[in-house]
Amino acid sequence: MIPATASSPRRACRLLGGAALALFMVSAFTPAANLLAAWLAGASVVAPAEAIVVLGAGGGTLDDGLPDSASLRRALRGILLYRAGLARRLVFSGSAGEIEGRVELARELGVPSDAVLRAPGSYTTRDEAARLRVLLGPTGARKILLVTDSQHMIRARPLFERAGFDPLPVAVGGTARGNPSPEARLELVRDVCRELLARLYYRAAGYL
Amino acid sequence: MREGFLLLLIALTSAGAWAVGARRLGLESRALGGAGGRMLESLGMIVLFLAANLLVGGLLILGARSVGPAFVSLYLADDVTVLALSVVQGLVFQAWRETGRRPRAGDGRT
Repeated sequence: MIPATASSPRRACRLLGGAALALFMVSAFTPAANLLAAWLAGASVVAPAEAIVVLGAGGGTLDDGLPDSASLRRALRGILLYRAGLARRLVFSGSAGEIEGRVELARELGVPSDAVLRAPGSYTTRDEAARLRVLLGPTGARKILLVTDSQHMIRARPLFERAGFDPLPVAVGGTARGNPSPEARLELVRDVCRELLARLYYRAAGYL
Repeated sequence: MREGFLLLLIALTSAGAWAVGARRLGLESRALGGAGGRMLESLGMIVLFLAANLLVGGLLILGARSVGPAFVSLYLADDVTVLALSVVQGLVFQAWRETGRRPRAGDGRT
């Protein structure tokens, strides 16, 4: 495939291209991505706790005021955990708009207003852990059900442990096993890569 | 099921393209290996542009965070259009490399 006359940069480009193509085919057409994501995310632990903490998902809201799909999935999981009686407090983190959409949803689904706490103003997962420490510190809540996407959990859980919490991970979404289409797998690979890069950055910055 | 269908679809259209190329356009089948190599080269160039875009984007955002008053999210660089435009960059650069080389001194003399 590589002619002997090809120069070194060209040969390197071909090798890189070949590696990218191989990675693409393995990611899209085999369950490797699902297995990797499941291994990285770990298992959820659903047990009674002092609070349910639902992390922000980029602050997205739709035109009708409802949280966007990622935010909505996390909010719904948190509400269901509350409705199952696993904690007395339900905390929504994220941007102000995102939180209000989630609070409204929780109210409509039967969560009493005085059970809901708001933790607005965080831009990063690290900020969220710090703000929630300040918010929940006076209540004495340490053991929390931490609700976020399974890939995000890779980074969120150690950050919350470092902030003094005892987080029980409740992963939302998952490893696309229910939808093993090549497109869903590629999306999963993208999420995993993004989180691994973010974790690398957090480690380099000394946040983890 | 879906994977099999998609791979079959690509195999069928590839075989059709080979038939048209070899029989209607008079292309040599032996040149297909070289064409595959060039495709990989272009793909490698696209990967390099994608990596450069993500790296430079990340550094710009971190720089903006350190000097600006407002928070800038790293997710700003996480957009599928970066991939699409990296494809364009890689293909254009590769085509330029193929066709735009300046003649060396002495080239073309008789």
